[in-house]
Amino acid sequence: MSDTPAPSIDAREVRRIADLAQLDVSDDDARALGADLARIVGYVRRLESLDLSLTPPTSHAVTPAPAVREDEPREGLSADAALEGAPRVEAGHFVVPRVLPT
Amino acid sequence: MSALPIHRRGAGAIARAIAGGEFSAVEALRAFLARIDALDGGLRCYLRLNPAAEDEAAAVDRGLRRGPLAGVPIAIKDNLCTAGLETSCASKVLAGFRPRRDATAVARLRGAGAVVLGKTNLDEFAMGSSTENSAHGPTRNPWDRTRVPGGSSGGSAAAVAAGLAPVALGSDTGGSVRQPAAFCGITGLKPTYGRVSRSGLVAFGSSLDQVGPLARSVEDAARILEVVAGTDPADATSSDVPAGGYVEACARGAAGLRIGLAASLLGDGVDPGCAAGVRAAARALAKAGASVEEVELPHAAWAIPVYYLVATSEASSNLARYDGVRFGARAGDGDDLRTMFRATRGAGFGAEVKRRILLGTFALSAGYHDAYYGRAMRARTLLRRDFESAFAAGIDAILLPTTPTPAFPLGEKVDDPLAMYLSDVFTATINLAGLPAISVPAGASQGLPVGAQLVARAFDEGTLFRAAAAIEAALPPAFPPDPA
Repeated sequence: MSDTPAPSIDAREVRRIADLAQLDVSDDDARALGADLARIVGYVRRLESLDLSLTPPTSHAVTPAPAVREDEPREGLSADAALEGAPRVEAGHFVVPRVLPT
Repeated sequence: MSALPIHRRGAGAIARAIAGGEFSAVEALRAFLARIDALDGGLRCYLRLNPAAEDEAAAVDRGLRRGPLAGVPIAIKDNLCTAGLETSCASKVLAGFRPRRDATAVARLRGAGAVVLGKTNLDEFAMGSSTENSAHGPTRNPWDRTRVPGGSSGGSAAAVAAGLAPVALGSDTGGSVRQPAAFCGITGLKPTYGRVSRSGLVAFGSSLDQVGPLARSVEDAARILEVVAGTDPADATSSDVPAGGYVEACARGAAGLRIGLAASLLGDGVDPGCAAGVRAAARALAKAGASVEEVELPHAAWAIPVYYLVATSEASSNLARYDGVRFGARAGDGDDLRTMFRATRGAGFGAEVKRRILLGTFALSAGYHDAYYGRAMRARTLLRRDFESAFAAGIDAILLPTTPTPAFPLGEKVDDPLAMYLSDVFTATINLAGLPAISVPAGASQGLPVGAQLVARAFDEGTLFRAAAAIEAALPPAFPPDPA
């Protein structure tokens, strides 16, 4: 990590991250969020002072039981039930705006 | 016959009174509804009540619903799915969402005869430590309404503390059951990772999240865990390690337990009243026949940087599903798909959720992944090993504060995310290690409750109940005064 330069989180960097996260942020929010993120990232960078070169990562602290079961079909949601919470539905389908911008 | 009013009685006492004919399940429900009617305008614990509750209680009275919790009302944090009853996570993005099914933990409670009172307030998507990050406004602490109840299960904690529910369910990703339990003067348990099914719990940090009970007694917390614990085919992370015996454990006493006091965490930055509560808990355990010795958790100070990288990385992935297609609210519908996604998420998420999605996206993004997320995963191993070393040396439970301070004033940290994050310093490390932990009342600091926290080996919740019951017996919790 020590060879990673400290990121500067300005409004432009916030927009780059927000773009990856599919999130609209206003200009005011981008400035405020940038300041917050810069402080938080500055704080978490204190992990750089730990020597972790020989330490393996932990993804799950308690190993879950092997999740295997018989490959048998089970009842799921009906199409109507799956659609009932959707903002727009038509003829048994989710409706979304056009996928390609005009 | 007990002279205590119904709202002051616990889950076990209410179940016994209903079974013994002292009052009916409908009467028990109405006692809590009247209490909610009188006090919840000021506290705002509940986002909505369950309109079917009276029918569910009447079914108990007709003998159609039975079980160890028959007729016991329970409050449910609003990030646990309830069939047909809106589950919003206190977020605009999920407003109006009515799940098809109960979360497994809720279904098991209903199967034991419990009656769902309603859904309680939380920090949006359980992201916060004060219940101020709610689209519905904050919940207030029943001990001092100018202060926060803690979070994110603040609605559940305040409801139980004030007698607006005998028991409640919450969820704990970095302290969200234990910290509000400590701030409100009640007991809160985070079970071992895998002990309780998360099916139907809205996901935040999938390597950390657990469902846990909040109660006014250690035994009631045990009683709820007894019902909700155990493997579930709908949750691949649920464990098949046998569960149970928790209520019995509460009566077994603490004699012979080896308790490790994390004394070095009682100094700088910790409120003297919180530290004094932990020392009083240690004395109570010693008096109950446990041996108390000091232990070190050398990496405890790294918990917050590790936690806020791991939890936000997982959150940024989990919250990708809120896109305005399958459920919840939608914005920007006239535009193209990507614009609709961005508008829906931009309008639907509050500031703290956006902050965490952005931090997690940053920590996982190309060029930064190894330096941030990868490094946090390695440091997480060191935190886990701290506990493993203590347990390998024969320690049965580690005693430490739940929080560094008692409940803080509303608004104090809401504009300072880093200060808010630091209130999880003693709880988040235990989620990272996957271990079970309980917060039990341990006296007061300047009139506000403080908690003592115990951590045990994975799946050894029984030891937590033994030790916590001994602390409770020596330091009996108080009930907050009703407003004049």
